Amino acid sequence: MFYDAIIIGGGPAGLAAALEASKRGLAVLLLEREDRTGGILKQCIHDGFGIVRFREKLSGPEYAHRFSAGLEAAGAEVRTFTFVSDIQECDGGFLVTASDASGMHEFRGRNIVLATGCRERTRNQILLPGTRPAGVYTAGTAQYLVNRLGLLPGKRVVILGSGDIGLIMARRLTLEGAEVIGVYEIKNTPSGLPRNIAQCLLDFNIPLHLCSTVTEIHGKKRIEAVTVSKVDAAGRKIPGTEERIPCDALILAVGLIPENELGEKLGLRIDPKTKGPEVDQRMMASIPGVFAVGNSLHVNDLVDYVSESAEIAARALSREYSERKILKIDLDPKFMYVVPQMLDLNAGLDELIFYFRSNAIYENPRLVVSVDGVDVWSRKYMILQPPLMERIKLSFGKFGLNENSKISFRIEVGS
Amino acid sequence: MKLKSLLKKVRKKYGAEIEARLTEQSVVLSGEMDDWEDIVCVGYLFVDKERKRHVVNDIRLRGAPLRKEEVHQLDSSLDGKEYDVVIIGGGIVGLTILRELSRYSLRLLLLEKESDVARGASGANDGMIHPGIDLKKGTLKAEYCLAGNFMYEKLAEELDFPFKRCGQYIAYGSWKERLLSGYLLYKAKKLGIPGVKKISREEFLKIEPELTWAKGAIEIACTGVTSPYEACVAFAENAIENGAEIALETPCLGFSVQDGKILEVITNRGRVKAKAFINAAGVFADEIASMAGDRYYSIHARKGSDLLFDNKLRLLNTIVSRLPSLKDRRSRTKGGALVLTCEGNILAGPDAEEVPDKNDTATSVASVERVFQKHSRVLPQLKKSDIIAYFSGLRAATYEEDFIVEASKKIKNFIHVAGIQSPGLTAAPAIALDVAWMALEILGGAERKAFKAKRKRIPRMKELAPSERMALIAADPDFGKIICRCEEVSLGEIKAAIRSPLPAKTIDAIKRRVRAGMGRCQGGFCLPNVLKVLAEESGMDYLEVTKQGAGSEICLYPTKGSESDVL
Repeated sequence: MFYDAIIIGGGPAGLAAALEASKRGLAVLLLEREDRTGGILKQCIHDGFGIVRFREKLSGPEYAHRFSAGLEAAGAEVRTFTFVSDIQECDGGFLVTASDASGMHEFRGRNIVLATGCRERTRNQILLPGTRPAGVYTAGTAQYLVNRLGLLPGKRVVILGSGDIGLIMARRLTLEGAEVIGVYEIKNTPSGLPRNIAQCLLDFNIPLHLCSTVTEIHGKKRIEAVTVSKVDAAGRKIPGTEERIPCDALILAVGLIPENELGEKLGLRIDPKTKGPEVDQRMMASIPGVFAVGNSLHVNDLVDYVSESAEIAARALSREYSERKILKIDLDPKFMYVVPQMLDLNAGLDELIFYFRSNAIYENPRLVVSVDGVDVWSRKYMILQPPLMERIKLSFGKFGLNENSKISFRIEVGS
Repeated sequence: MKLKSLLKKVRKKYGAEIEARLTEQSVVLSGEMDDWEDIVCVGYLFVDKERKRHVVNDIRLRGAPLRKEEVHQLDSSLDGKEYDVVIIGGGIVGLTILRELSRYSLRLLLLEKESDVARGASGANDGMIHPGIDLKKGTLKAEYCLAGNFMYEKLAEELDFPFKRCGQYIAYGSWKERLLSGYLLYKAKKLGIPGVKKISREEFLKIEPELTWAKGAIEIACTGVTSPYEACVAFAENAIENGAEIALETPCLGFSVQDGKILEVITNRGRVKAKAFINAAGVFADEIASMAGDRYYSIHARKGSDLLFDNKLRLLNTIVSRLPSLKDRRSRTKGGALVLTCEGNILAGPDAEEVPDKNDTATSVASVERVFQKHSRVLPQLKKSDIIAYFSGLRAATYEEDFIVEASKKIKNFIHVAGIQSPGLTAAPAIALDVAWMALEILGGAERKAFKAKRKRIPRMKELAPSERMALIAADPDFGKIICRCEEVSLGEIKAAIRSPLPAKTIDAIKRRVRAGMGRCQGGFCLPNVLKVLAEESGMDYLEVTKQGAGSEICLYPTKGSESDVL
């Protein structure tokens, strides 16, 4: 039997895709690695989820519940504690190999939706030197330990990196009675959302040190201290600025990377900027019938957009696709990235959602979209900055695009 | 030995006043100097070319902090026990000896101060099984290395640890380098290393298609690779299955010596009697020797850092290096190679840095850079962003740069197995054969017993065919529940590690046995789950779970109002 879609991952993206697809009458199989669906939301007991979508401030588990609750009624088949080890193209679709407590299974699907989320960068990826003691954890791991196991890594905590989970954990650890000595950010601007800077640091008097980073970890068996140093514009440490800070935990919030090992094995083309697959306006990747959604596509700042991208894919799922006519979108270098990266001219071209981030802070910029050299759309922003993902809706149907057309996005600054 | 002229040289070159005196077996240096590198260089200066004496270098580093005394758990679990042989040190050397001796009707105990075996250099190397082509003919190193190399197939088969005789390729990119390659052929012939030959660019590119710069290579067919800590665990488990005992977190704190004989070893768990004692303490071997009053050599720690790359890279099939430039040839390391590990990761092998602190395995940006730069000359496709881990190990070097494998001349029942640095992993099984004989000689012989030579390792779901996986899951559903996503490790494998003959009691021990936490996320996802399983299986509170033994607790406190043991 062929499922219309096999969705890999039961976090917010996978849940939204499964719900939307099964509501549309498609035969859906959702495969989740853990014992319950919800993904990382299960450990996100803070609020702020669903502001855009539900105009409510939900906790992570509440947000997930909005999707998982109706899933079975809508007819989706959900298998938890099921680990996908391989996906291969086969006649008529894709063959998914998975294992669970009952054995090894092969599932066939006409479409694959990759909703595998992202992982955290580790101390190794930022080449953080020193000893290798206990007490050094990524923010997400610390969040699991605190919120799901009731364990506190330490009571004198240094946080490296100002990513959102790190900021959330600064507040969480403070509420649990730990002293957060400071958040150290190598860049000259924070990487987390402004609202998290305000609500998690400022409200709790937790200092944020910009242009500073941890340059060494000390302690043989358990962390005893870190050395922090100021850095110059190129991120090199400035000699003489070293300061040794005794601590019993170091939390790392130094970035997220989309998980795409399955997609890479399938041979999907990966965007080096997003580290996720390149997709068209339907979130369809370079292999027809494979979709990438949520944080496995690109790292989102709000869960609401994770669900949205999944639903866009779910609505596009079909048993057959006409041949694609791909038009790549041109970006000026002021963008960090734009998703989708391309358009399929044989698919719908109106009311398309684009997500983007700028590569630096721009004040009072204008985003301009042009078709064949003619500006067709623009919007003024108060500010564009890398931590804030932006979303726009555009229609291209009326321009009579063909393969030789040229769509360009640019950010205009000044004047 | 012309001590006076050497001392003059030290005065002139380093401006240092040191003292040197001769004993029966050593030249002993003392004094104080300002720079550790210089102290090490002075040590080398006094090496006796005729090999009559060893160097004991007691020159202190001025202003060096005192080593922090480690705190050990105290109990009396070993007090008053009697053994035939006590081995000090649970690295590859101690463990191969332990397994070799477990063929006989002997009461055996191995003491390891850390929370697991292979916590020192044995666990922090590139896993290469060397041919020893860079070694000097006539040294113990060259002799044991080649002998050990050829023992690995059988051992890996018996003990079920990974080993591939993948061959090694030393490529050259210019005619100048090519000239040097002739020297390797000469060395191979002189040392009796079989299977060394020149191959053409075309032949080489068939084996390593990514190294397009190569003009040709020297092939060394007998080089292999193993998983070093898995090999250690295999020897340990098999020895235990044959009746040997291993005491972890049990350092040797001293000996009671009488009439030139060790009666007891003093540990944190009591005093243990034995008929023979074997010193296999790695970088600490000279300190153990000193406890027995028989220190006639120095061990200085030479740090090497290795980089491990994501296993999704498909850039390498064997072991590859580029012929070293003349400048590199002066350094005291084989120069390191790019190794495709048994698990499919590329490992960029080590640099060399003398360090004064024998506990200093900290990594530095400089060494990571150094190793990366060196190897990107061989494989320019390597990216720093694909590094998933890096670590440092300490080589246990003597100033003579050779192994010491001999019965003590002073203490009747004491055997030194010291200075076993690279290629120690290769050499260890061969060394173990000789050391076992030495021990038997001290004991006056022993009877062979029914010996179980085979050991099975924990099955690896990731490496099994679907039908084999099915069978395992049918027998135990836990093998179908994947806990570590990057390395595809099941709950069943983790539980098996906790229940194995040398039970994994820490997060690191589990990681080394079944690879949970070894992948690209470095335990970010699986750590809390492994912690839960470990606590539940071994009846620990969550707060008692450690990374690598007492003092390395994962978490220090419960959250407000939570009782972690009920959760």
